[in-house]
Amino acid sequence: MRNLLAATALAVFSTATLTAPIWAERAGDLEISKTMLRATPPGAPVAGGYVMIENTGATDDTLVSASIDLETVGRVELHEMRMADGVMSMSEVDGGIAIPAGETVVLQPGGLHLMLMGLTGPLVPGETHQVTLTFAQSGEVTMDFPVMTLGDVRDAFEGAGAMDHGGHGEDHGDGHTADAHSGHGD
Amino acid sequence: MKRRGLTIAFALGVAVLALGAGVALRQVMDNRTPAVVGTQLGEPFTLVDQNGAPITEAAFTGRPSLLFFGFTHCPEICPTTVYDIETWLSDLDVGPDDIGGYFVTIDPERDTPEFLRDYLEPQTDRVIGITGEPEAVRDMAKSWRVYFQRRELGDGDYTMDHYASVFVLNDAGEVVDLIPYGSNPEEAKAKIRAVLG
Repeated sequence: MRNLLAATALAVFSTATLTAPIWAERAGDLEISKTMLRATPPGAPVAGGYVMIENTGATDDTLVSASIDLETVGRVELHEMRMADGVMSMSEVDGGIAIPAGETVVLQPGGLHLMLMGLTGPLVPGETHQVTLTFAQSGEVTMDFPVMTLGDVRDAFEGAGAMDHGGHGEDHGDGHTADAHSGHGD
Repeated sequence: MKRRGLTIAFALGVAVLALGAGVALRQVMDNRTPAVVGTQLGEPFTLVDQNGAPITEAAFTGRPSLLFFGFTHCPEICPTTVYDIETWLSDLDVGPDDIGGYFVTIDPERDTPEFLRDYLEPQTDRVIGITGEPEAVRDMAKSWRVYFQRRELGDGDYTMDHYASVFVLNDAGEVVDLIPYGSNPEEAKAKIRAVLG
């Protein structure tokens, strides 16, 4: 009987932890959360990956590279999307993404992101893949990146307080971008 | 004295002109409404749709349309725009007979009709891909005054910077509004509702 109770308790506990994903991890001074990949249509050759990184320490860090344990992805780069006067431009971030001490940097739709390139198969919602982030100071961190639809990605970043953080806010200077942000998650 | 008065009047005139230009420029900047709205853009073209069938500017007439320019090797803007258009039109409960949707590639080398079809079909039945002979495609995009620029990524790979707003066309194929990337869905739907009449 006691065993049954224990088993039940364990089952309940497991279910609870499964339904509330453990979605944050610490690596040195970094608190890493909101890891996710955007689902792709079958023919899409590229995909976006997102993550929120908080540097709780006193030392600046840099996200220098990322990789994924998936054969259908050619490589992962660190990219930034910018909107100016209605024109979208994309570029690889030179020298990695700075994670300054005491700041939170958000890789999310519309700005900095992990760029998965050379896809030979789709990313399907419900799948989870392991992505390794490599930091200059904190080293390598491998985390689960669940695949989510755009709607779910938007919901996840809505109200994250993310819009005012990150290293890309001052570069926009464009009314569209503000609209873009307020539109997300609606 | 007279000359001086003329000089002052001239200087004043220049100042007023400059102020006027500044205000006009400011209005354009504030509204983010390019001078294209309400004008006839685009030249006649003959390209191919995602099924390989010929398509011309006639596709943009007879009913309103949403028109945008993008490419499939685009992680964010393009799939998001397809997703948004699908969502807006689905919310408005309008079908392909009520309003057309067109995705013109600005990367015709990689975006063949088959590639566009395989990319678009799983996402939407409301948006038709347009591609064709690369120079003809680029001419078509330029005739809509759409900015695009190839950027090298290394390893022979490249991406495209491009104008990301959606053109809202009336049934005569004229631009009546623009939906900037990331617009509030309700604002976007209001613009579409307006052109549906």
